[in-house]
Amino acid sequence: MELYVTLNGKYPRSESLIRATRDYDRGRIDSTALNHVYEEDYRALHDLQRDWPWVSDGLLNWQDLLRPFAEVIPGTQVLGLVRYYETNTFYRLLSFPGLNLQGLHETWVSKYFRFGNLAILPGPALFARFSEGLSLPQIYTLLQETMALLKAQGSRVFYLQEPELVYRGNSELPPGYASFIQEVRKVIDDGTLIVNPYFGSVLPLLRELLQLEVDGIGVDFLTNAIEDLIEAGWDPAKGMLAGVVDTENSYQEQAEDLQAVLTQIRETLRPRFLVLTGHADFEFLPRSVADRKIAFLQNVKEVLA
Amino acid sequence: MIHPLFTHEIGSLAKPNWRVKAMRNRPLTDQDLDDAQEWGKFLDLETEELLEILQKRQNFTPEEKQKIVWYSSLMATRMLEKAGLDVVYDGEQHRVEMYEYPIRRIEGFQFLGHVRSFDNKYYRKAAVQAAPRLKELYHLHEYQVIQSFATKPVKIPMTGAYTLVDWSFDEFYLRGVEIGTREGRRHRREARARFLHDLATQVIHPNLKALYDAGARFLQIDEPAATTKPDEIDLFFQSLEDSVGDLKGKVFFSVHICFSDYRLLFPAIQTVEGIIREFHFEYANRDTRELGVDDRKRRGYEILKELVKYDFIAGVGVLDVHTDWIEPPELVRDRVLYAVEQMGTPERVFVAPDCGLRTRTWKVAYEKLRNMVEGVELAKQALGLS
Repeated sequence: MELYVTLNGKYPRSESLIRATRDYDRGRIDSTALNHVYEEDYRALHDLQRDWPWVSDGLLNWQDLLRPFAEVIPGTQVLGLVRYYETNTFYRLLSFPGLNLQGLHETWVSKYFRFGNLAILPGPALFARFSEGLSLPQIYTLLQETMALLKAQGSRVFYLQEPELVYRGNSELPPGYASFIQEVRKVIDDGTLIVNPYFGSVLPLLRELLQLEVDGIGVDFLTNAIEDLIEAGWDPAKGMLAGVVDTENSYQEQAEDLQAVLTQIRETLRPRFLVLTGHADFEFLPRSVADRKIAFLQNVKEVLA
Repeated sequence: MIHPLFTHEIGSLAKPNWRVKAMRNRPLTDQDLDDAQEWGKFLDLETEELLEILQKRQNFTPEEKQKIVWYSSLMATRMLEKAGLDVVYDGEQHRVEMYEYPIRRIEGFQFLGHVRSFDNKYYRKAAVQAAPRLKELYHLHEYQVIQSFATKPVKIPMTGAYTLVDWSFDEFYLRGVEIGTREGRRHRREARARFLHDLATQVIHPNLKALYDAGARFLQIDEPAATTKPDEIDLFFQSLEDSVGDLKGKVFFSVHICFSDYRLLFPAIQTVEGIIREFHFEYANRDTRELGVDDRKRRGYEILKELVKYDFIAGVGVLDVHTDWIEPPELVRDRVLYAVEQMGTPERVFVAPDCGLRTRTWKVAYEKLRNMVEGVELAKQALGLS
């Protein structure tokens, strides 16, 4: 069984970059100085993922998981704050005037996907939750086109972040979701596609999720229990993005405990591949703690491998 | 003390540059001194002593810094009085902000670094590493200072137990809690309940009690995180009960919650009837700017239809704190009239901004508050109350 470690969602900015973004907002430094700090942070994040097969730029310059799409569609308004699920992080509601992909081009990709082959994107349900003005079919089109462009620009792995699918305990996927995934499947061809629902139990949706033409499914193991997945009938043909460290708390998980959990997953659920990551975005941790948790996952992975 | 359409603010105001720079040992500019002088003049305050201290520009002694904070507290309080509010505060001039300030005064916490709140706004986050214990009563001195010069009743806001818990990492109560098991989920909840109980009883209640003993009769518990985790709503209300304890009925307790899904508070909110008098929410942020008192134009105030069923006063946010746009009095009037219509009586409506105004300049904050008070007067006239 293939075993990886990857980032999950947005990665936290370093304390230096945090300081620089504040200084930039207050007019204390110019964009050149800010970009210099960004580059340093990208380098550090690149180094953190050295030799990993799936590498992300951590979305360091994204204000939230939807914000770059405000630049894709001209006339998009950036509105008030909306809490991001059970966190103390807030998104801004995007109000789209309609579907017009004028801003979806290589320059946008190079601005928001700085390096790596792992593209982390908002899933359609998440996108709909934090925006208005686009129908679900229009959101499907927007994301398909985005992934097509990203594939053409070198992305090979796609995570669709989808807490909205499980957070409210829904037992059905949104209308047209399976067809959307089928279309994406065609668009990304031999790329790897993972739908990543977190902040909720996957059980009510598990049957439908397993039927999607995705390579893997995310499981937040702070919310989900292995015994529940066994009883519900996990499909070993699917890979698993396993959220096994707590990204909302700074305590250090114990290696022996995690090894036991992962051994149980491998022996009982037997996913096609197993990706170790945080239960949600790493951004909810300060950078030093996130780096420590990533190093911890890497060590556990090496022991298990 | 209270009356129909009572007006108050919600905690924070910006800190003047001369106060911020003095604390950070950064040199003051002529503009900073001019600002201090102009606000002093505007507020009819004697500021010679302050200006004399500020002339030093930097390297202030601890005594001078204390005096500078005292003046910023005085000015902020006077500004709210001049705006015409019924109860006043100093906009957190004594505090860093609502999380870091209390946490630094509680044993058992360690700061780890910054996490993002939104956009390029971050807050420093601490982890609890031992059972929390109060190092010092952290709002008593502030109350005594403000009370010494306030000409109106003073309200003290205080960050609530649930928010302090939710905004902190847990490295103590969660120790050893397993992941990926059903038992682990249950243990996580139990750990959370223990953390909340300890903080409410060992930290929040003693602070509230000290304020009560010193004469405070209007206390606001800030709980912006209250609805963050829907399956913990019962724990949130339990933490309010634990925090208030034997002060029930002795103090006017207001709870402030903002930028949240308020529907999640119902029906569990009934458990604190008779303990909490006012629930203040943010409404203007989600409302239209059109005049009028119909449901569509006042769509931001929808939750009042639910709140009216319970025995609370509705504190209604009528000012959007994230924009410099100054709400006209007529818009405030219509928001208030709509709230009164929903709550059935003006006695069950208090008026305030959505949240603290710390992200606005004093000029903008003052103009917004002044219009708010003027809008309330217009509403009173429309209701035949004045």
